[in-house]
Amino acid sequence: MAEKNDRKETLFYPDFMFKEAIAALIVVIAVVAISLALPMKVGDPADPSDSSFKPKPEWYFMAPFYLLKVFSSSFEVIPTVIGPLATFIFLLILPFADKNPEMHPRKRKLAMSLMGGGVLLTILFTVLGILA
Amino acid sequence: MFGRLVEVFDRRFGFREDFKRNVLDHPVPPRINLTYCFGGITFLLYMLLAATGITMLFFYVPSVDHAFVTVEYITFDLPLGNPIRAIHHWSAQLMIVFVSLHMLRVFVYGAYKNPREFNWVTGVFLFGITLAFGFTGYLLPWDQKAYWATKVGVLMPKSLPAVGPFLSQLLMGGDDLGALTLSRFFAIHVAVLPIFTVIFLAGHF
Repeated sequence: MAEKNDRKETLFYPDFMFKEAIAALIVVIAVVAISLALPMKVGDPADPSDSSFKPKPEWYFMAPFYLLKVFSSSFEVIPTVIGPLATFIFLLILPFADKNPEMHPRKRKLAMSLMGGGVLLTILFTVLGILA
Repeated sequence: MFGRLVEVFDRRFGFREDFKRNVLDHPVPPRINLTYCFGGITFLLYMLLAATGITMLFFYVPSVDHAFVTVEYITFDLPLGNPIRAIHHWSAQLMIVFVSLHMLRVFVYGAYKNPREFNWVTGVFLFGITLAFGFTGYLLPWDQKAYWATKVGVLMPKSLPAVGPFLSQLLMGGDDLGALTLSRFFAIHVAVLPIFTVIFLAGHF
């Protein structure tokens, strides 16, 4: 095992573990600080008979929620099922569909623009949903 | 004391060498930067969520009559209840952020490519599991926004022809969002998803 270190490889310990430990410390402090600064509240108890309540989902479900309101009811299957399912399948097959052996982002124009476009659209619909 | 315990287990299982070779001496790319920490941060947040979640399990009662009042009790009366629930809430928010950043980092660096396709695929499942945690957890306080937002969510599959209505019914455990929905969302949130997380994490590291 000892000769392995002689090659001066970058190893998980201690090179990466140090960075990871610092990042972990910052995150824990941040979470505790936010939690103390913004304590939890409760809403009104659920009332299944009061359908006048205007629901808002968590921000990370806002994009399909926003599109659901934009699409007419005969096409609502696009944001509710087809969109999320297509995204999931796209992500699953990505490493097998992308045969380009290049690693550097500049040499992967197609992959980078597809992903960039997807991310931008998701952010756009999320912001529109929150503002709506 | 601890050293002796390690000694005993090492004699039986010989894990020390493996741990050194596979974890401590695992080669990492020569120019690592802080973006490589996103995955580790996600895991750390998951640990915070597990700890605070288990703590709340001692006090939360997943029934239509008790969910709201027990959450109210945790939030306002239980000593340290509010920070525990708040840490659970904010860790969850941050976990979504860091899962997304981690995926983007891996994508931009092309790190999903051969020979690490499998790490990417298990990661996509973990991403889905994280969203499912968020969706099921949102209902548990059983307040107005939980009820009506979840209603929109569970009715979404209904727009799919043929199997859609059945899928919605399966999610709700009946024709309407009610006691059975709360029970199954609770079971999925605290038992089913954690087990799948452990399984996929084992394949992800």
